[in-house]
Amino acid sequence: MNGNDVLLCRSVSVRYEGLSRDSLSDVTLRVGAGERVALLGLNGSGKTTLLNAIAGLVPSTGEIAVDGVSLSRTTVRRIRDGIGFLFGVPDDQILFPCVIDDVAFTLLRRGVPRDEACRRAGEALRALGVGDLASASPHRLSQGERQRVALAGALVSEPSLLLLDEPSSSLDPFGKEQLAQRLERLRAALVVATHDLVFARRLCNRFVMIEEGRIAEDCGDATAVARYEARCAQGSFGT
Amino acid sequence: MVGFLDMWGGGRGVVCRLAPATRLFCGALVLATGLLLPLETGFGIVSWMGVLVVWTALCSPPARRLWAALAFSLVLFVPVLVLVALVQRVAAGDGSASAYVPATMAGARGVFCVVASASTLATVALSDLEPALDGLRAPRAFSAVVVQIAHQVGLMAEESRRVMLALRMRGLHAARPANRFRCVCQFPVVWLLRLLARAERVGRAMEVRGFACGTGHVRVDSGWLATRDVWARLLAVALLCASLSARILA
Repeated sequence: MNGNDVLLCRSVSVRYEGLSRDSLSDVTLRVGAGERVALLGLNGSGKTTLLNAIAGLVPSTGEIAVDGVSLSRTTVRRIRDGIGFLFGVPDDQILFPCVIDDVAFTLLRRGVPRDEACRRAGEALRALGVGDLASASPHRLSQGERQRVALAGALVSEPSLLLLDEPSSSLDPFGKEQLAQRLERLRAALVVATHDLVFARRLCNRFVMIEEGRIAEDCGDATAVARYEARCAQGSFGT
Repeated sequence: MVGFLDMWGGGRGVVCRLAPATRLFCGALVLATGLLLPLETGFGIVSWMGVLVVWTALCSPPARRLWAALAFSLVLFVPVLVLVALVQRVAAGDGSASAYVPATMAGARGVFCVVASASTLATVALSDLEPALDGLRAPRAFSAVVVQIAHQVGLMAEESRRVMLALRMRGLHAARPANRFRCVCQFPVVWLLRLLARAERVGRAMEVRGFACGTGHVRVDSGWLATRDVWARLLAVALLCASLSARILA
């Protein structure tokens, strides 16, 4: 692993129980500090599976290392502490009936005093444009607001690696721009699984195409997105 | 229809000015009082009615919710209890109306429990639940589990409501009875599968976020009670003692 690499995946494969083929096959990926990587690909191509494998949520073969720590049964908690994760369905990761409690939880768990945790949680919410929702109940929020709250929970601890699954899916154009600006300012490495090509172009400086569980293209140039878009338009996938 | 999330908070009575823990404490004691007061005597019945009316007035839940609780409790208890009383009457060959007395008392206590609980819940917003349990010195793991159950039930209730809206939009009400029946029969299966899938996803999110019962939990109450909270708790305890005495004396 290179000294600057935040994430290293080497020959990572995942096969879900009951399936005859790998959902992720022999994936090798290095992500350096501050790099912003977009994972692009059709539905079911393996983007979310890759994010889950990095966080140790699905059993995988091969090697995964975050910040130089190799993923194993004994290190998985330590690795997760260094990761901010946004799930595809934000409802699933909001665990408290009050927004500020939920965002502050990430910090409280690490022993940050309550006042300090609440202050930082409030800042994280404000940075995403939902500061006024601090005392609201997540049940009453719109999908986009929930997504921002879940994101604030992932960002508040300033992790070195952020794994985001469809972060812009429920956001309005203003929210997307706000999110892109917020993520751009981070020093963390980002891995973003998305179908939102405009958002990916706006935010990322590297584009990884995944097809049927394999990396088909890994390019630091937005022309890769244009090629992908063209293939989508032509319907030339799997032909 | 009053959904799960609509049951919490929204009360405008004086009880809402008390600390969340005191609201729960007093609500629990009022509930116990209603179960203890003897309904065999005139004094008991008047006291029982008085406690219910005063507690409801002090909590002031929204009228719609109050009527919904009342209707729900009547639908829940009346048919079963009338049936039980009828069976008893037939079995005992008793022609008098006295067979209905135990069933009526059980039903009345049931109605009391539902209405008093609805009134208490109207004073506690879902976000107040954790500080309330903290204030009652509940063990951390217990309060974490209770809060998590309430939160997840809320999300599931919201999801179920969306599913029902979608079914309505897709014309369930206008479908032929056979199709409607088939759809309604399928609903629990689909719902259960969604529930399982959701439980799995929430479990993953908990793992990633390092959630374990009580982890990162910091008690939010200072440990000191305001004078009005002390008085409210003393009154509730006195009420419970009085109902216990009335029960023993009766």
